[in-house]
Amino acid sequence: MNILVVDDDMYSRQLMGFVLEEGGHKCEFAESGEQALEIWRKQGADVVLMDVLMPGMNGYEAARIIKEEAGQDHIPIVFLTALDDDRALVECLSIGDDFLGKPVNFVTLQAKIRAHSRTLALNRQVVEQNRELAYFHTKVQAEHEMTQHIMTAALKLSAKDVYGVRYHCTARSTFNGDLVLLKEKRDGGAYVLVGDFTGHGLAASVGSIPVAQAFSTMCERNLSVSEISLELNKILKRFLPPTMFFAACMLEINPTRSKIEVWAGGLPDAFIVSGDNKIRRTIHSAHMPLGVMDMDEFESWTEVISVTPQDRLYIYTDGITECPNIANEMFGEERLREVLESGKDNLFDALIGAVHEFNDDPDLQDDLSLVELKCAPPPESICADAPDQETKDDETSPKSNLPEFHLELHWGPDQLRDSDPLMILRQWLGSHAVVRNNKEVVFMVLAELFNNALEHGVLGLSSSLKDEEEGFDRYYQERGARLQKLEDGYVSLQAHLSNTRPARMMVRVSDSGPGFSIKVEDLDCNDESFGRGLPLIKALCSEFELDGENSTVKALIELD
Amino acid sequence: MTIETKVTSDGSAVTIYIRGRFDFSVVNQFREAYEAHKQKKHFYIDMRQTEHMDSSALGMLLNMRSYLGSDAVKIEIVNCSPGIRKILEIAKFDKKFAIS
Repeated sequence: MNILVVDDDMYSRQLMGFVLEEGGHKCEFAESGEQALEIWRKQGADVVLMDVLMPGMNGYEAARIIKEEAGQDHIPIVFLTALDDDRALVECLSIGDDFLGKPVNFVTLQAKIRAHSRTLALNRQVVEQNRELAYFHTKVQAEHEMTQHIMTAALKLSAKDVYGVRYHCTARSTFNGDLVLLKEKRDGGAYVLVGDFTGHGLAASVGSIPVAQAFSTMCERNLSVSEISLELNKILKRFLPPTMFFAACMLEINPTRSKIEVWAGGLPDAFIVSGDNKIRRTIHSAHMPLGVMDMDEFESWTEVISVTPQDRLYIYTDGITECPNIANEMFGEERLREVLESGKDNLFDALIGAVHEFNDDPDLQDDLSLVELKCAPPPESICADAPDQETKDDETSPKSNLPEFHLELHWGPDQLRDSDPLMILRQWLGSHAVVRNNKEVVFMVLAELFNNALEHGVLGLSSSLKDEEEGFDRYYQERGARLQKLEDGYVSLQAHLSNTRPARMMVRVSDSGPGFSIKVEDLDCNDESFGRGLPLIKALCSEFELDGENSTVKALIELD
Repeated sequence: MTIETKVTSDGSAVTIYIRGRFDFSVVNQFREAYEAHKQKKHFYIDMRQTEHMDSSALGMLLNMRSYLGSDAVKIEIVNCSPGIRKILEIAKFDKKFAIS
């Protein structure tokens, strides 16, 4: 250790220096308070031995200045004093850290230096740890901010407003273990998910990212609630540690809002309140929470409930029922039922208000979520079909900003044998937004024209085969057999998509067959003598031409 | 699996899910699906994930109806996209099946 020895008596200084250097320490010497400060400022010290009574600046004064300048750093100062009254000793301990009687006992001196070297080491450790703590604190805060940004972005995808739904979702800390996801379907139906991860804070909320992403994707794919529950369970079983799970209630309401399909696992009972303000139906949680069961034991069955336009559905997390007040009572289901049957106009606000009135201390609250679904169907004006009407009337801007395009495909025997010759065409066309919105009709027409050309034109099969007993199967067996043996022949298809608005698609299909004698005028939906296919196409298309002499069929599809 | 069959939890009805394409490529799968439950009187055809269909699918539905006995059995086609619905309506299937 570096020890600064301050004493106006040279003999005393030398003696202490001798003893301390013997003990392995390095000493600097000062003969006055002023000189002590000079050396301290220049090279510092680990411990200061300070005589009290010196000419000029005395030891107390010098010590006070050193302590002040050292600030946060601990510098043990041991006073050397011949004074032995209590007041002087109290003074020593209030300014410095210790005292040593004069004449100095060298054994005691060595022992005190050792003791102070220990406190110094401890102190330096604490300072270092504090510095690390402060560093980690800032780092964690920065990381939390980043994480929160990612979470907000991830959840935004699934927090779009849905007609008839109000929700409230507050977190106890920055991160929320509760999750509310909503998704409106194009046909006017909607998906709702309310969930609660075990615990709260960051750990509880990270699970919401895979859940939100998967939920959003599955809603886009129009999956059923049952299938969504199965998939989410699979994801969470894989992601979550064994002690963590996700209590959830999810539902789908149909476009006319007359029916809901619910899967509920681990959340408190949900309630349906009828038009006359009675809880007419309680939805019990029928399953274990998500992320608990293995896939082979997981139950994905759902409940289907009919609802009326006056019905309101309330789903909530246990943050509401288990919300405690100052007396440590819980809000409980009784109070919740009371509010729901109170007949108040706005049950959603009434319930949130009641919980806040019960407990106005945000620190006492768990993550808390409430979703209200009013079952009344949306007014016609906001239905998904509405914009189509607009574009149809808009004759002044007939051009769309998408290019028109033309496709021509030609299948020879080898290509026709492929199990699904139309697949590539569906993939190309399906990536075009205008076609995608009408894909069922477009693909139906393409499949029909192609299959007619192949089956009747190239393979020479007769539809009448299908009418016989077991004919359906025989027809397709025969189709496969003839296709295997096919040596020449072709089907070619042209598709042209206009860039008008609304768009139209022209399809022309021709084949190598001998031609046919059917005329468009003969086709009638109620008469099945030409099969179901052609009359259906005639009804689906705005124009339909059959050119039997050249084995060519042309159809025009209006796309909206 | 493009065709999947599930019996409802109370055992009263069978749901046949058709994923992707509904055309002659699934003719055997589809027939096996309802033949395995021919004693049931209530069927749902779930078209939620049906990407497209052709007229052979219409034939398959009619075959199913005649196999099970059109008077004794109730077949509901559910979760149709607007496009599939349009096709079924034009083919007048709404007269023979319940469509929703």
